[in-house]
Amino acid sequence: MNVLLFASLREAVGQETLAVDIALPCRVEALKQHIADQHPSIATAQSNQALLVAVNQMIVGNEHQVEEGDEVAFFPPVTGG
Amino acid sequence: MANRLNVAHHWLDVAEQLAWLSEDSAAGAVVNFIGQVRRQNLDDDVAALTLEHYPAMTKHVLNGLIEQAEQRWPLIRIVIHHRVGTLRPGDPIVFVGVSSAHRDAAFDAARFLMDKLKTQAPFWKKETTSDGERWLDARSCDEDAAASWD
Repeated sequence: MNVLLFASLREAVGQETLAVDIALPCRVEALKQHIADQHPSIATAQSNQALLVAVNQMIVGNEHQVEEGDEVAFFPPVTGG
Repeated sequence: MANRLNVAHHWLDVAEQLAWLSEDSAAGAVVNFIGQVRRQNLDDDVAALTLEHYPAMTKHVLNGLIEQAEQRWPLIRIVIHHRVGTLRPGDPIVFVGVSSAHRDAAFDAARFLMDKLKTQAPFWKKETTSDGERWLDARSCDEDAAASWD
């Protein structure tokens, strides 16, 4: 599956999209951990509570199940307006 | 009920938006807010501000906020226009306009839309100062303002 990255996370990882090899369905918490294990900047954002996850354009919690075909995005807290 | 929602690099014709908001004579109140780039932030001079967003989700979230505002107050028209790209100090970033029969609904709905937009819509700001570039952090006072509507 692919995970979209935005803003500081995209810059820190150096990629707009991360290809992730994980069995689906899986919980958001497991997906975060899987990516954090490979990308220290994601681990840092996670430990600073500065990592939000959207599935199909809705922010979701750790318990949410990611299914095949879902659009998943990781990003920091938003700062528009 | 009618509304206009736009996310774009360009700014809009404010007078034209205000005319559209006030066009229906049922509207006794028209309120608008404009957010713009401050020349100083966190004690540093700001040379530029770059806004990025997650296009598919931005529209989704902003449409949801418009629906919530319509359910909560008797509104006549709503305009939300948010810019992306690189802006300079003094440049406008966001326009929120609301019309309703009476002023309380228009003031409250405009504030609600801005408070929720700031904490829910996926926009991110990166500042350029004399010290280089930095992504701005979310502020807890914005979270508190948004939560005050729940």
